Amino acid sequence: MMNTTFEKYMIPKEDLDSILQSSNYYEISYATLSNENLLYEIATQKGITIDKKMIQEWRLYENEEKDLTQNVFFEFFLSDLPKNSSVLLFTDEGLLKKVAFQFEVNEFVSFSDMYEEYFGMEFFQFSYYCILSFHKNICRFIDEAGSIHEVELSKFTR
Amino acid sequence: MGFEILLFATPGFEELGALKFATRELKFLGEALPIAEKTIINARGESVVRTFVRNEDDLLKIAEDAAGGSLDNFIKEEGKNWWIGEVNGEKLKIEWEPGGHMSTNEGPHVRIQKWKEGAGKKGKGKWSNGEKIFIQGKETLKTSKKK
Repeated sequence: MMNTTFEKYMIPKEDLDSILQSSNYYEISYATLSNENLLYEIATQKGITIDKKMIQEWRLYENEEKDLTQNVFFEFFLSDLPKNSSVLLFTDEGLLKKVAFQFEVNEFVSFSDMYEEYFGMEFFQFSYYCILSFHKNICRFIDEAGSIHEVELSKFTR
Repeated sequence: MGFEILLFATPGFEELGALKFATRELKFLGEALPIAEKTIINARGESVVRTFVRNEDDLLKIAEDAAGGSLDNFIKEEGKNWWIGEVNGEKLKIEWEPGGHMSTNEGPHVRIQKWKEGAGKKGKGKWSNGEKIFIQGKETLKTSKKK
């Protein structure tokens, strides 16, 4: 039952590409958003400014003196977005199922709790995460050194 | 038995550029490769110890050895440079990144993460931060930022 409930958050790869195409974001796709190398390369080639914000005390997380938590994820990815706005999320677990996830910011706790149950793992950990907010016109993704990169979504239109 | 790497400060060091390479062993396989370690400044401006091998062949060998002899034993997800599988009952996630990352200005590397059952704030389990290994002289993509 939990799985069925959670699956309401999933958007198949093909549907997502249709959404991006209809939104005129021709330059990005499910494949691009799931791969930081591709995303960064396209942004750089197009001369798009990439802002960077570092997660503080990342070394403590790396050394496992602190745990990455849903709260840390929320603070760096979602806290400045309107609560009733929708975001798309790309993760390695989603990639294995060829889906992205869509939820409203105010649903994050229940969404991420269900994510943990569904995949049998902590939600936020040393892995890839990318969010896309049409409302704020941004795409954010984390790198392996604990920095959040942000690019303006509309720059990806032709 | 976990994936561990041992550094032996034994005779047989090999000078290669500014680094001294010593024998390093992938413990669970008993394979050995020359490696070196050096303190560098990372993308965050922090001082960290990095591990290097001599060339891309050695780097690939580390990834293959960690995967039990071949990355083909593991599952690769299309469009990503990581593989998931099990060796000796241990679940591993191996990143073989021959092109490096522009986002972190890291050169070609291998990252080996272990699954830690029951770890994390809620005990749900998580991937370890893992060990990253680079190629000597190619630790960054932007040569102007080399330290």
